[in-house]
Amino acid sequence: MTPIIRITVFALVGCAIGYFSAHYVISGQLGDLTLQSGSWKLWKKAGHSDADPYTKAHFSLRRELPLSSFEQMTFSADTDFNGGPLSSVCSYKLASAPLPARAWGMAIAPRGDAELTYISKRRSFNANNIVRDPQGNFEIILSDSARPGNWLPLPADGAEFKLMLTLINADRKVIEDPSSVQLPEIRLEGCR
Amino acid sequence: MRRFLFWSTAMVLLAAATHIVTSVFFPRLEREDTVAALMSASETNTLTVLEDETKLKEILRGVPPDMAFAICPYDISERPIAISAPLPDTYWAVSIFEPSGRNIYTLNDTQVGTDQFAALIVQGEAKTAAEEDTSQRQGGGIVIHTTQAQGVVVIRSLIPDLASRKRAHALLAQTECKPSLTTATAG
Repeated sequence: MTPIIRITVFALVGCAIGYFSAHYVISGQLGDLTLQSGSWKLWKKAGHSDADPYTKAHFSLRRELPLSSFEQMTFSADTDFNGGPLSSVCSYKLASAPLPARAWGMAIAPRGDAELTYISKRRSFNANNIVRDPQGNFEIILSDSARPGNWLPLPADGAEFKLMLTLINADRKVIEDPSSVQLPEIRLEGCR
Repeated sequence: MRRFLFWSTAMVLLAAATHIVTSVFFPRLEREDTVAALMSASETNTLTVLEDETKLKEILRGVPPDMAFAICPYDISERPIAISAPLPDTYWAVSIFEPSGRNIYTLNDTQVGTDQFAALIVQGEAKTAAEEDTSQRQGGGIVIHTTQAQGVVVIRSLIPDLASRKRAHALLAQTECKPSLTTATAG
């Protein structure tokens, strides 16, 4: 091996180790920066002034300016209860107890940078417009065809998507211990 | 053996340098770009309600669809900026970001405690505990100190349902964000 090839290989391997180790931490796949609760993932230090560089990098690279958990806590899910990717060729049912926050919103969002094509103006439910039972429990049906109840239309074209659950002014207990919140389970109902 | 140690150490250093550049330097540039895009989406010291969802998504990603946004990029190098806003009967919050992306202040409607928000952003460091305490009101408003002359105010308000979208934007449009007629009261 000539010296030039040796140095090139050395540089490529060194840069690759540095880049991919950073990438895996920034995306939340390595390290203890996120909290996983069922399908839902929360960046524990999102928006905090004392956030670690990786958490800051995660949101910076996504061009997001999150608020601290005292204001908003955003959980995201891109898989169902069994770990399958969320896809608009399938339908899902979410069942939830009342969420411990002043307000909340559940929205469909693109999984990556690609924009989603929506079939309806409805892209979210929130604490004000959800239909609940007398105990405050609710169900949301995610499907690309109209369904009775709280129907959240899925994007067209069989796209993969993710769900964002934002708790606004969550109860103090949840802010102090986010793992204590009981989040809705995303159950697969079937696929076309 | 000595050669192996040299190359191993050099590779660890190269990997560490790449790791730091990837996780600190590039994200910092992206964060500054994000705030720069927000600041260029409206005239300085002027409030703009981001009614167009496409434009909103271009400049601020990851925001819930049931939230209305207004922004006011400011420059307080000559005069403080005064903000006043009527509060809706639902969730509302004001946040202030420096050009670096640092969130220096956030307050929501329940913390305001009345149906009207008023604040003055002044340049300079708070010199006393009383000046640091933004829960204290001076002349009817909160005084917020910042060392940076420029920044952006982001106001968000919950849209309870699809039919309320226009109403939420109309209420945000009543927010005033303009240079204060008085000089800074502190700083």
